[in-house]
Amino acid sequence: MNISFTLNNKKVTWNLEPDQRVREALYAHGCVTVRDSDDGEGFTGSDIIIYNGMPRSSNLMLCFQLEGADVRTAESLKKGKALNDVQEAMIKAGVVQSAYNSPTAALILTHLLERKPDAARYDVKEALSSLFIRDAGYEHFYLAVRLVQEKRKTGMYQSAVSPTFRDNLSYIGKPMDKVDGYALVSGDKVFVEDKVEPGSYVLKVLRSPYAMAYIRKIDTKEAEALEGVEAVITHENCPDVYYMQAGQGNPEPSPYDRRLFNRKVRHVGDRVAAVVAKDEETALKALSLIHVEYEPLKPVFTVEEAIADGASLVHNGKVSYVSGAPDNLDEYNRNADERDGQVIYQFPLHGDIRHNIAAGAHGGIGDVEKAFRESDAVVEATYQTSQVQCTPLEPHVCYSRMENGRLVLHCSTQVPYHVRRIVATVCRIPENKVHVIKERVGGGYGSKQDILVEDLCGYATWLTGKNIYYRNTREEEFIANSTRHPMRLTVKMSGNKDGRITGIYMDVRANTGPYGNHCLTVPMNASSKTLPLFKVENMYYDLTTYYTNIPPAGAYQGYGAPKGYFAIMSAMDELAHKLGVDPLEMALKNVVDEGYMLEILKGLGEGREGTVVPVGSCGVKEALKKGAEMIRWGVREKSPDPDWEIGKGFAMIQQGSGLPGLDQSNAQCKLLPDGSIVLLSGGADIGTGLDTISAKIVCELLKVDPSRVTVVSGDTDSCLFDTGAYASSGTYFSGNASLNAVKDLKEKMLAEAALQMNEDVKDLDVEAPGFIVCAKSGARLSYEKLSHDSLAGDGRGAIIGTGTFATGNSAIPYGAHFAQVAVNKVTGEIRVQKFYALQDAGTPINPELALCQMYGAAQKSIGHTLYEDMVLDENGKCISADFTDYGVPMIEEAPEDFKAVLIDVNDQYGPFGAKSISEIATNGAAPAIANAIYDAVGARVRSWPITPEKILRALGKI
Amino acid sequence: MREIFKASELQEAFSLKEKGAVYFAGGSEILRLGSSVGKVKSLIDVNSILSHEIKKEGGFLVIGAAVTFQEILECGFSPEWLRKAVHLMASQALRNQATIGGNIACVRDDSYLIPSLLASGASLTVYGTRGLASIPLEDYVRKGGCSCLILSVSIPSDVKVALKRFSRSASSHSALNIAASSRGVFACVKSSGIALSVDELEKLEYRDDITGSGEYKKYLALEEAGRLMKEVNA
Ligand SMILES: Cc1cc2nc3c(=O)[nH]c(=O)nc-3n(C[C@H](O)[C@H](O)[C@H](O)COP(=O)(O)OP(=O)(O)OC[C@H]3O[C@@H](n4cnc5c(N)ncnc54)[C@H](O)[C@@H]3O)c2cc1C
Ligand code: FES
Repeated sequence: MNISFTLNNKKVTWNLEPDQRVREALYAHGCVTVRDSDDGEGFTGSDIIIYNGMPRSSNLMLCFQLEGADVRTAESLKKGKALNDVQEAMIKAGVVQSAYNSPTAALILTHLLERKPDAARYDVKEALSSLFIRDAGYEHFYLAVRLVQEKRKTGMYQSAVSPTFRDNLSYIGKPMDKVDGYALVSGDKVFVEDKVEPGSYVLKVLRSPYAMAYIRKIDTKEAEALEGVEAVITHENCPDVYYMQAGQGNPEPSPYDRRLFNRKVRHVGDRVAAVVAKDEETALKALSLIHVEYEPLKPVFTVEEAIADGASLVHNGKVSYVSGAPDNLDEYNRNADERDGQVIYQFPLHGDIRHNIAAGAHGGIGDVEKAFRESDAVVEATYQTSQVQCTPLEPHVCYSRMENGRLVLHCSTQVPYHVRRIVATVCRIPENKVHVIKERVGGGYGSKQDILVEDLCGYATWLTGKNIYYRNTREEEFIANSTRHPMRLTVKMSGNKDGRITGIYMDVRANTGPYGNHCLTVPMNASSKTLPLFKVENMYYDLTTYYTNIPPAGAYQGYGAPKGYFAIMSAMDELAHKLGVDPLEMALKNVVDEGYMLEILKGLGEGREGTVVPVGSCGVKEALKKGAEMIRWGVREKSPDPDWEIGKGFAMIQQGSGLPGLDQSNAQCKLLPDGSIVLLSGGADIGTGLDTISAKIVCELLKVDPSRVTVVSGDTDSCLFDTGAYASSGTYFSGNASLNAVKDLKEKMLAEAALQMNEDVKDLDVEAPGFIVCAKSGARLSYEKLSHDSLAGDGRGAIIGTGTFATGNSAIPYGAHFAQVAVNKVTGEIRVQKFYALQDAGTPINPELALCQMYGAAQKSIGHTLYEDMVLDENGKCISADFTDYGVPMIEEAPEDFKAVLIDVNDQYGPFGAKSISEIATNGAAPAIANAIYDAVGARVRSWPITPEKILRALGKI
Repeated sequence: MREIFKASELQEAFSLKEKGAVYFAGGSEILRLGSSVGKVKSLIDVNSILSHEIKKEGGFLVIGAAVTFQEILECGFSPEWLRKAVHLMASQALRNQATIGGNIACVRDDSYLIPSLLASGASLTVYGTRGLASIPLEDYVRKGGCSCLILSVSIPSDVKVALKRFSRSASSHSALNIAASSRGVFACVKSSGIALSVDELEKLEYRDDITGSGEYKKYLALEEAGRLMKEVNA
């Protein structure tokens, strides 16, 4: 049916089905900014358009409603190539990060400012009430609006977007437009879905309705016979290759315990079969024609159930080891069940699958038992964390195709090189046959560190030769993805009346779910990122990770650290109260200082012995002191309403910057014929500004304008290997590799210039805006001439710098988060009134982006502390598998007074003194808020999420 | 494929409804993921036959069924309590879409507006088997809705309503949405039902769900009923 309406000020007539969703129609007609993050739930707002002058969710409208309507999408914002002032201000303010809905945000704010040029904070909050922002938080959106208003009034921005650092440097430590900001905010076709060619096939997955079952029979004949079906893949015809989906350095500290499809399904949502078909309708129809006979088994969901005598075994197949096999392996495998497949450890992880144990570790220093015996007070408590999901706005997607006999994968991934390796392994082809192109990533937060869809999509293309698009539904994001490992942590801590902590013991029991992705590393972080913060001589931890039948667990920003901090900082608060000591004083007394030898590291290597090193640059004490001052620590605030009480809490925190000894990054930097520069980075920018860091390094060292620098990253054909964007490695590892590449290029440029200029290389240096100058003679040579002549018929060849970074040194970020909450004694309601995140990130290379990272991460962790929860029914089915039921925090949940503060510390190993920024920011909220709640009303809630109901129970009201 | 009928008369719309089609007002419930009416095959677009107007009539505020939450929020003569009630729908884009008629017709146990409107003593003008009729909202809710087309909602102007919604976050469904006035206490309790008096609130069978345990909801409902009555009487 022909439907006529006005689209972005132009009259259009389109042939549309009246009951088609407006979003689909707009996207199909080229309005790619109108995206979908929630399958039409009407929650996230990625699909918002201005419909007859009002923001509306286009997924919740049908095309018949377009007749005669006036529609605006974010495509209307640019004038020619120029961004509008809202888009510009959003980039300036640092909120354009993973940016899946940045154009929509720009559209909403543009519309707001048309209606209300003087929009105040309340108006901005109202306007953004429909938009889910996971990456950068909401705080700097207020700033962006203010910047627009200032510029409209005075012709220029008045507010500073961030403090600046390192006065001696021009780009590092100063705000600068993110290099991909323009493309992201204007809605260029930069995401995987935008690359899908018309006529591509789709892949759909049949998922298990049972938490654990053997597949007795699977009949795919009818599905295969359906017209338009290209392939049906099941455990019967998939490659007999064991692997695992975590994107970790090879050999991985995770067992290979799965194939593409397994005869035993291990969670509700586990893969049973996949269909490749010409379109979605056919694929879904084909799924319904697959007949499966299951033999259901009694599942286990919790650590307690997994431990229990006689518990069903999640894995009971043959175990083998690539290295370090125990002597009794044959005996151990005697009763293995063939239907369970295999479990292959790359090296021993203290796993024992016959007791549902995937991995284990333990270690420590001193004598904790003696410390407990001889101290003035001991506390012991158990803390439980829940299963929470990363919820990136862009779900897991993959577009795969064949080109010239090679498999090309367009991915939204944090780990392009691990994708290449794992897909090659599954397809049983060499890595040169696989080309991974990391597109812009619309949110990762750890879940895109795992190869959860690329394995299957890539194999399906390799098998069929077809272009195939795969996209998780939002429900699949919850049930068949990676989530935070639920953990039960028992902490025992002793101390003396002088406030000294004498001993800490942590017993960490983690639930990895059906497969062992990250089963050692994530839980290890609960101890390895917490214990080294304490100047305590007796510390010990035990860690056991269990297989169960919950939806899969995996990587999530912060790994196990947010859980470890919830337990250890709550326990410290409990100990301080028992001893009658101020918790802040206790923290200051027991926290490490620069130079303190970290003996505890010996027992904290990830499956190997760790190296003892001293604490490097460390701003934790400053963060504690400054935060205490800001929140008026020690002052009891009075609530005007007698039902509400106000309390304060804090947590000191640390993380790491990549994995020294395990990670490696590489980069290349090339001088182009006209003297402009391309840097090829193996690092995967997932929206956080890593490419901008690389660009700034080039600008800083070679003294060129950013317009003369391009960064290409995460393309496995053109860029060199990098372990990937996880474990907070971006700035430290990939940044240092870029730095080394640029240094190398500079050296080579100077050497070539010395020959061309006939000068001594030691007299040469670079000068803005792109010259080599001789201090002695005053001679100058432009980069353009330098490059041109080196590439001429008689030249000495292209000038290229290469940089590698691998290290044994750590650059550890520190910080302290403070919360002030109001708690209603009658209803248990909680309001986060103030949240102050103070962090030492070394030199913040992109300070405005760093602040937004902190806001985003803190808001995420406020989410897992108070609201978010994957709830399973008695059969293991997730009953909160959409945004509304799951409960992500929106702008309404942002703290009333929210501040991110960068503590100025210069690190000796980081590039220009920089350390990591974002993961650490997920560590503070849970303990800070839990301790503040206790301070307010005396209720100690030791499990996530801390709900009003739990508070009421702790208060004895119910 | 869904059929879409554009109704031009009340009777036409009602007849189609009797044949199994569903009224389509804002569409925010019909089209949302997991909607209870999402799978129906025929929709009746009622937007051109419903009033989009808010007006004062005698001692009443008369709100056309097709008026959206946002229009109520922005209307100069909406009482403060009603503004607060529509603002319980946290998302502005949804408020631009959701209509008052659609909200009432859903008779959800986490309804944004039903408790407050009940407390206000609102009545509905509907079109049904017997043509135009007026019916107290209380009766409509008690029978769990019906096939009639809601045309407008009349709210006494001078009523004082106190209300409160309890949900984990502003955008998640409520465990309890409760309101009170001199007429008594009215509440929607998730998975448990709608209570039209304190007595009914006490007798309700409170059930566990993801918004909280039955015990929690009962505690909260009874505590809040008392507090809201105090607020009304203050
Ligand atoms: C993410 C999300 C969360 C939501 N959460 C809630 C919630 O917590 N509480 C809540 O109450 N609602 C919730 N809703 C549902 C919905 O948005 C509101 O109830 C809204 O008010 C429905 O109005 P509508 O005009 O969009 O209804 P429509 O979707 O058009 O219709 C809804 C139902 O009402 C009927 N109907 C519509 N108009 C009339 C009329 N004039 N006369 C008779 N019947 C009519 C329709 O036939 C249909 O059965 C949510 C929606 C979304 C998308
Ligand atoms: S039958 Fe009376 S209101 Fe519908």
